[in-house]
Amino acid sequence: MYPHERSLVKQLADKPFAIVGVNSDRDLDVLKEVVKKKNLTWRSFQNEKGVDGKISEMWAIQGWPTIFILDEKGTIRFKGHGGDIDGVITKLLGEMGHEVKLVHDDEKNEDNKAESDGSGE
Amino acid sequence: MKNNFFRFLIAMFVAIGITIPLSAQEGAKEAVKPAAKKDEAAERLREINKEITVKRSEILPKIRKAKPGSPEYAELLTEYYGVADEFADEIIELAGDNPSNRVATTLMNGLMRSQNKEVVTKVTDAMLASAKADPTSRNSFSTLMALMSSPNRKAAAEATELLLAGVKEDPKSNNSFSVLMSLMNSRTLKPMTKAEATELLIANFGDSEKMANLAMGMTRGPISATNVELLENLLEESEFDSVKAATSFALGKHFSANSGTKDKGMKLLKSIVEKYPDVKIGRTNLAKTVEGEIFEAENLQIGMNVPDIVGEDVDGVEFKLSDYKGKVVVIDFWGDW
Repeated sequence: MYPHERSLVKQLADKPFAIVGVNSDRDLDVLKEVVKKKNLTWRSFQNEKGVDGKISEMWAIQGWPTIFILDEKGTIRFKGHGGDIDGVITKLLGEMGHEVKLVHDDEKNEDNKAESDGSGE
Repeated sequence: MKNNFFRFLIAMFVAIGITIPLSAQEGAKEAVKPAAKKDEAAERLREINKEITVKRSEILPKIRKAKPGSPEYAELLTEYYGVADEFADEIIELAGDNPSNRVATTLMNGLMRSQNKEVVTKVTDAMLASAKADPTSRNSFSTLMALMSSPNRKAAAEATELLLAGVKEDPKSNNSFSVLMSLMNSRTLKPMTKAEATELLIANFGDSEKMANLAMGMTRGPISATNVELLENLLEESEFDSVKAATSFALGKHFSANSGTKDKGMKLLKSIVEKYPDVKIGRTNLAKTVEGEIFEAENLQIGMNVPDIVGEDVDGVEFKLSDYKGKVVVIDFWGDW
């Protein structure tokens, strides 16, 4: 999952696009470690620290990962545990007049690269 | 050859066992031998288990990296479970001689997941035989329960028959409840047997709090017309809040999944939050769960405007989902396991 997301953030850096995580690990130290080690470049909520209580409980999340995709107006356009995420993103950006073509490197290579270059962009 | 020798040993121990009471003093010394044999078997089982675990731990990281559903993933799973195949005969033999050894039971259950049909058949036969030899033991009960959902239909049918015989003998026992529950929820059984199981459940447990478990067992996916009726009766007549809450939950989910009966379903779900806010099924507070489901149904469907999230990031800095308005946003509920 991470390499794919890292690749999305990198390729769409100049587009109106963002990833927002909601992390369900209970241990904040573990979480910080993961963010650093795996070079997660997007922002994540701590699941436990939602102002209305546990975010995953409120949202009735029943499996991980669960993905929602919103368009520019904040309308939910996709939800699920996987599937053609790239396709949905491409379509939604297209609706805003941004033509994009997403190409992902081999995930393993991507993982190694991020480990070494650490730039996070 | 080895096998014969083994049988000979067993015969010897049996003989020694019989002679112990005759010469108590000598017997005390001799009696160590069968125990030693048992220790040896336990030791060997631990060894096998360790070897399998080590080999599997080498495959596990690859499985974690593979995409679920891909051919590569399936291949890795086959490899993972297949690690135990080479020990199958030995495990079956040791498990047969040491029916109460836990490692043996674990290894036998593990072999059931092998992709090698021959192995699975062998294990199934051996498990069935041992359960038949002592059908009332606790071990046999869990074996038979596992076999009941085996893809091997003949074994499943035989296990079901044996378990049903136990139900007839003591219909109000906890074991009987478990058997009838899994019969009722079984996907492979004939409708006849299912209906029969449902009837027996109602007859023997209809007025008990256990019916809450029954209702919770029906909360995944659509419910048959017969069971809808059954749940509605329970909701009306049970004296237990937990049963009322659980049946409302099952019926509420069932009805709200269908656009024609959605309002009725949502009303049932909301009634749990209003009437039974403290009911717990196992460790789950049902009202809390339902609140999430209601929120999801009313706010998180495709085409709806997303509700805001306000919270803290990993550094404790507050931010909002609505900060990202105007962009295409992927919300990713993730965990690092």
